[in-house]
Amino acid sequence: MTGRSGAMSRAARLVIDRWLPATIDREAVQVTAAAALANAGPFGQVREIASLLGLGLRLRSRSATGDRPRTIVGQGVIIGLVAIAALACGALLGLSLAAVQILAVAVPALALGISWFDPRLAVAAATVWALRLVATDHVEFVGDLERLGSDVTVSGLVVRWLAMASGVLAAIVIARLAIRRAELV
Amino acid sequence: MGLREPTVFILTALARDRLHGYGIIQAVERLSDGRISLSTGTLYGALDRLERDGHVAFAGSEQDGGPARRYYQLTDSGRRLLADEVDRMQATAATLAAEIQQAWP
Repeated sequence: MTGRSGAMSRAARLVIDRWLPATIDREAVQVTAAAALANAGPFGQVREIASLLGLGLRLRSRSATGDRPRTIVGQGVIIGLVAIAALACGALLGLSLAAVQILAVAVPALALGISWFDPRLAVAAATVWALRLVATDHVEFVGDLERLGSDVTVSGLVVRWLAMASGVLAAIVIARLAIRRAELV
Repeated sequence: MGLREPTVFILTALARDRLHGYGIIQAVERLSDGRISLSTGTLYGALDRLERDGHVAFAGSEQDGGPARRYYQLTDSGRRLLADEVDRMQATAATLAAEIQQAWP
C-alpha cells in the first residue's frame, strides 16, 4: 500500500466511523470502500471519500424526512430560519456588517453546492436569500427603479436586488431538482 | 416509483445471484460496458433505500480471511420492480423506434 493509499484508507475509515449514521452497516461499507480504494487511481480515491461524505448527508436527510417532499420543504425552511437567526445573533454580538453579508451569501451558496445529497439545504438557502430579498429597503429600491427611466446609471441597490432575485430563483430550481432526485430510488 | 439509471443496473446485477457490495460495483461496470462506475457512497445510498422499500434483502455474511462481507439479494418485490422498469424501457424504445421509422422510412 502506498503512502497516498494508506492516507486515503485512513480517511475513509474516519469518515465511515465518525460521519455515517448508525442506521447503515458501517463494516459492510468499510469492506466495499477498501476494495474500491485499492483499485482506484488518485482521482477515483478522492471521489470515493467524497461519495462517503455525501452518503452521510443523504442518509441523515432520508432518516429525518423519509424523502417526502413536504417534510423536506418544511425542515429546509426551518433550517433557513435558524440560519437567519444565527446571522442576526452574530450581528448583535459584534460581527461586522460586511462579515454578516459575506456569510449570508457564502453559507447558502455552500449549502446549495451540497444539496445534491440533502435537498433540505437547497430549501434552506432559498429561504435565507428570499428573506434577504424581502428585507430590502423597498422604498429606496422603487425610487432607484423610477430613476432608471431618466438616468441610465444602474444603482448598486438595483444590481444587488437583481443578483439576490437571481439567487432565489436558482436556489428554488436547484431545490426542486434535489427534491425530485430524493424521490427517485 | 421512478428509478435512477444506477439503480436499474444494481437491480439487474442482483438478478442472477446474491452479491456483496464490491461485487455489485464490478457487475454494474461490466453490464454497462464501463459507462457506469458506482462509488461506494452511491451504491450504499441506493441499497439503503432499496432495502428500506423491501426490494433488496440481506443475504448473509461471509468471512474470507478479512472482515465479513455482507451479501444482498433481490426480493420478489425487487424482481417485479425490475421487470416493470424493463417493460417500461422496452415500450419507450419501441415507441421511439416506430417514430424514427416513420420519419426516415
